[in-house]
Amino acid sequence: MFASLLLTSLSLFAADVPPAIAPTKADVAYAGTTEFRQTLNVYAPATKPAKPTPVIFWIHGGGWQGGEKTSVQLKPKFFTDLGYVFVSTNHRYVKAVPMNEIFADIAKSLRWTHDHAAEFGGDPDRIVIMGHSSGAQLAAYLAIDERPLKAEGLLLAMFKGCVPVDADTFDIPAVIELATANRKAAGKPEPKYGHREIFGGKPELWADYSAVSHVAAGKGIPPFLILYDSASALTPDQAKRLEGALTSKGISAKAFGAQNTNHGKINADLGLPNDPCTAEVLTFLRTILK
Amino acid sequence: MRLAFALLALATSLAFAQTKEPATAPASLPKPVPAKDAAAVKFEHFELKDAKLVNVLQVIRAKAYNQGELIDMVLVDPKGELEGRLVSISLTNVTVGQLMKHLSLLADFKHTIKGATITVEPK
Repeated sequence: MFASLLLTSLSLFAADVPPAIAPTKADVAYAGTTEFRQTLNVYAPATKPAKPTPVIFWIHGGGWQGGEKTSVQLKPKFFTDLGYVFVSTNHRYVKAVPMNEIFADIAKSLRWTHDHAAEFGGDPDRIVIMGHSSGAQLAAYLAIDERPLKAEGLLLAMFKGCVPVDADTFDIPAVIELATANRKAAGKPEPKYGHREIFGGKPELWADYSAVSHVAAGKGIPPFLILYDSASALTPDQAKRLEGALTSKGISAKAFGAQNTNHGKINADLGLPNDPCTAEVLTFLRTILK
Repeated sequence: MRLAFALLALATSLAFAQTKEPATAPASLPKPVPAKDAAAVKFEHFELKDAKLVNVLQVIRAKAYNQGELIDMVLVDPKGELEGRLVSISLTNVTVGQLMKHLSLLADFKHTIKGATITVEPK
């Protein structure tokens, strides 16, 4: 009886959660090196689309010092079922290279994606860049500061949208101040390797590596949907900071706060039916990819 | 005592350096603008447990700064009787005006909010 109930509940759960799918092409070296951190995976729709389809470009989280391109949960199945090409990239970690070289890795990965999207049915000029946590910071930065793309001969115009998911580092000096104030209030010590060190240890670098520093009208910054966990101590304010910086320059941006979630769940649930953030993403994609 | 809560983090310079960092590019960080009405700045969530009042006020200022609005927080506490008072608070969808009212009841102080400036002093 118990076993039967358990199996029923498991099968109901399974009906809601699409199974993981294998990449169409795995471990592609995007920078011409043998460095595993500089590889990406491509997931193509089951049937090659009749006309070029948008590409979702995903950057994993992990605090710039961890994470992996295979940590994509429901997203490949969800986006390829919609008919899109899904690309998930690795990048080198911050203890091995400075932050600006991570930006360069993402730009090189985008260069490969742009050059090879058509082989999988993708449209190289309709890329939506997304990421979670540190990957969200990287996605927002690459969609706002044109310099890393320019070094690869690319333009911001290749992006049709950007969806950063629950990041706290769009304005790094501001979040350093808030995190410091929060820690003081909680009686906690400063971390040995926190945002100060990750972002180069110098206030001028904190400013330069902040997406909000580079927001300007007329340079092709795409529309933004900024997702965040409403109960987080840091991400709601940073989401609103980025939203305000973009809209003040006439760039479309919406910050959406999810309830009853957390930093991991908000990412893992993307692609689930009835997930509020997934609904926001679908509405956003329909609007920007018309 | 008047505490201006300058950008402590910005003033902090660490010895950490990475050899491959670029020559620093000029970044024009858009500074937050002074809040037109500090009382109207809204936080989705505000939670602190057993925190000193002076630190709570710093968090309020920093949270507003993270949303792009500057609050000038002034603590007038010549005898040092307020800053160490412990406060626990958990509020959602709260304005700074509402938050300051809660705090003034919890920590027994008086406050005024004029434009971007919040002044806190003993009763």
